Amino acid sequence: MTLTKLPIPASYIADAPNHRFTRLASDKEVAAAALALTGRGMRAIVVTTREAAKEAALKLIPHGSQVFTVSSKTITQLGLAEILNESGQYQSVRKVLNTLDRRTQASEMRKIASIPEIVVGSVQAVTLDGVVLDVSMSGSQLPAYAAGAEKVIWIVGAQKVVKDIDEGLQRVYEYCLPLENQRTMDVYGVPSEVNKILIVNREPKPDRITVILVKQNLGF
Amino acid sequence: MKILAIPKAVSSASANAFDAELINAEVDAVLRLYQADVIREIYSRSNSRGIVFFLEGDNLDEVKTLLSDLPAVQRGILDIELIPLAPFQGFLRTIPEAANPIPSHPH
Repeated sequence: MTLTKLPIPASYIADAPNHRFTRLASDKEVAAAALALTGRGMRAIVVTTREAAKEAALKLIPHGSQVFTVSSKTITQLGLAEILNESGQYQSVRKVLNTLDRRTQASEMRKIASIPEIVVGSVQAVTLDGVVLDVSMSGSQLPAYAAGAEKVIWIVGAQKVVKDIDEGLQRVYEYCLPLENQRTMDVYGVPSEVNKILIVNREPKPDRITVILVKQNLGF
Repeated sequence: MKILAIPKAVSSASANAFDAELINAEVDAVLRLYQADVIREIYSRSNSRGIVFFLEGDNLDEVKTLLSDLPAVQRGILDIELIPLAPFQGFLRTIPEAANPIPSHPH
């Protein structure tokens, strides 16, 4: 492992997304990543459709659970954000956060988002040997992902399976960042940055992290 | 039934017995067993070269048969030790409270 892509200035943004990173991993690559995840203490579930991914995720979330849905195109595409936040069947952390004032209650917001019972989101890359990369501009989802949440559910489209950490970082800079930048410009009027990078090498708590690998393009 | 599998190269296997072609075939076979829900977890050994994996099967013979199809086993350069596992019940004999569990309904 060389990590040749770092350090790159946080403000670096490629002109256009490199669509090489939309290529779906083969069945063999998906199976390899899934099996490798198990050796790193994470549960892996492989499904073929978005509907199956949604069902698999909901099976892992008992009604009444306190759930934090991270801002994620994947979660939105699956309709999970709507079910988990709006159905009334779960304790939505997102809904609580939306009632708080970012200017005066930022500390409380950070605490609430850091220690949910269950966090549901996605990541930018999973390597063939089972390492998970998640990148963030603010880092708001990272406390829950890394240790704060009792359970972590990541739903990952097969286009996010990469060879190794280097290729994962390349995917982040050359594909995810230009798209995320467009999103943050549209929504917040500010450019995005690769500011915080979480690399999950192993999860020591059994069954804490479940990765649902979907054999379809999902999110970015 | 949960089974721990410990593959070991046979002592007579030459150092270059695992060529690229065999490794690719072995990986394909292992991934097929994962996709068939037989191999459930895989680990690298941290105290020596090699891997171990946990499998699930109806019985030991069934798993033995499935693993005998692995290319390296067929070529006679890999032995796989299989250890069938069962729920641990030792606490029942050593902890009095476990032998006389607390009633679920208070009397």
